[in-house]
Amino acid sequence: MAKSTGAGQYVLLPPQGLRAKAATATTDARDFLRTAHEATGTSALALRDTRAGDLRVLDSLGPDGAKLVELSPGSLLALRAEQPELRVVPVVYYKPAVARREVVEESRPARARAGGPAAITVQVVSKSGAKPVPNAVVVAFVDFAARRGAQGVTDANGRCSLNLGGASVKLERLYVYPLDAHWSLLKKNLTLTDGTKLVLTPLDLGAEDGVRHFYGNADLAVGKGVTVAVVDTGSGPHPDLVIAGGANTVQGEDPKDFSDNGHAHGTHVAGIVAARGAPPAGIRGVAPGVKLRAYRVFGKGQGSASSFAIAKAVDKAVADKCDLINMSLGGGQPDPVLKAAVDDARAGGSVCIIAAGNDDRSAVSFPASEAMALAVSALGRKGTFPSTATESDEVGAPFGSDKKDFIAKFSNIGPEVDLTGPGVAIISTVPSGYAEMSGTSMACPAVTGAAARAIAGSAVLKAKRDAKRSAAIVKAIVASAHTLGFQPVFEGHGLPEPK
Amino acid sequence: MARFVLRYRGDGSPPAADVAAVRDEPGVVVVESSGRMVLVEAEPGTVEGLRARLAEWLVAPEQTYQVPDTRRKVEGPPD
Repeated sequence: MAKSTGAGQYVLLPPQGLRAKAATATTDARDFLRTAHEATGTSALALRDTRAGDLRVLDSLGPDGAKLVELSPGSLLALRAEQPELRVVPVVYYKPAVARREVVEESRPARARAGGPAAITVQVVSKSGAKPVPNAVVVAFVDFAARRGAQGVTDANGRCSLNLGGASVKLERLYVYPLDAHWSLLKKNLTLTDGTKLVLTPLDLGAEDGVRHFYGNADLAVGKGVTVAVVDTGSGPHPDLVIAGGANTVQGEDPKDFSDNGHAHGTHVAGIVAARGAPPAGIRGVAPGVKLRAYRVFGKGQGSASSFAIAKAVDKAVADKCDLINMSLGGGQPDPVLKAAVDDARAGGSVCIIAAGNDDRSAVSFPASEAMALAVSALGRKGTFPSTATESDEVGAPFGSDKKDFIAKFSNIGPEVDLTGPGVAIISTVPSGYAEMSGTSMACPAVTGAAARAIAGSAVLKAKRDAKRSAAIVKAIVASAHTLGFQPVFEGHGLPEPK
Repeated sequence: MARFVLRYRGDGSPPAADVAAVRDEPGVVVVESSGRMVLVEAEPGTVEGLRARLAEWLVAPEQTYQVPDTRRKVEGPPD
């Protein structure tokens, strides 16, 4: 029986084009299309997973052609698992373009109250020795719903000046995000005055965070034989990371410089997949034995990457024989170039595993939403981070069969979600040491590491690099997943946890 | 001028004649080439002409993607 009954219409397509051909589709896929053709407009087609519910074929472009089908979220998931070669894309209905007025919020300085200074200076210190914590971002909200307040970054003395319009200001919320070495901090309903000290708890690399809870500290050989690409802000250098190679696809930069661009994001992601440190002195990734390759698509110090650079990186990763391509990025309008790169990777034997996005339960973002991507939502686990950390804000329903498990409030969700992974308060490598971060960006490499575990040592790694190979990789990953008790729109097939 | 990405969707490598047609198109500046892609700067109208002639190529404006971040941000000062 389907877990959810909300059915939607989809187009079921062969691996390439509108009609399946022997050269590009397996017999299994072509047989399925023919069976579906015969069921058009008549009876429902039963899937192998009897729990998933049926598939209804509404229209067909001939025996080997595309099909218009109706699927419940459960049957969509089952279909993608049974026929990973076939592309399943939501039907799109186009509307006339209408102009939309953009609303820009006016920005103005805070008014100083009579007789008082407009700015309040706070100091961020470590619980360990009360040492000042520099480079921490302090975000103070007087009105959280309207996102009104002030923010700043601490200096070498841990001090930060906040222009809040008074000497003593009541805050709804205060967030502190350290650069590294400490847990973040969230305080609610407090009064901030000049000289307020904010105390951060140091990270303990031996403690069990979300990744270590679900995947433990793996043996260094785990994942051996699998090549993983991290397409991101660049990775390393870091003593816990062994990066076999990679490329920088940013136009105008050194093509060999795949080191971190200063954002630390890609180094954190790489560490979740394959860090080789020894806790509590270092960090161990989910699959430390993989061959790790880094592809930098963000320029030095830049916060945005071009579709050309990303597509080029994906092409290079496929040419470099990467089996899994981790893409902890996305958002914005669907882009045909990036979609084509993801499709071509799949046709070339590589599988793109992509973060679902962090837009507070919005629809799965592009390119994770693409049919040939494996989309990953973010899972949290109560008790794996301090209750004072900012992540306490991300705890909420739905909870899993184990009530400590939850899908992070920030995580995007939808029928395109294929898998879930730990992505709340994850400790990993950054160029300056170790830091905790949250996001589907963190869940994605955890799943990539688990996927590497699922295919390590299997015959599929020796198969010809084509669509059939990547379909077999997807099947192996999906087979390793198990439900944590959430609806499919939250967890897809669940958490990959190979034995 | 805006940037556009052209990506070859046919089998194998892009035909040399197609690549030459892009390079030689008046008003088109090739910024970078990589495998089956070409990044160009051109007026949208010029690119539409190329799109019509190069049936096996996908043509789209270059897009940008931000580094993902779940941190809260202030959007305005206190009232």
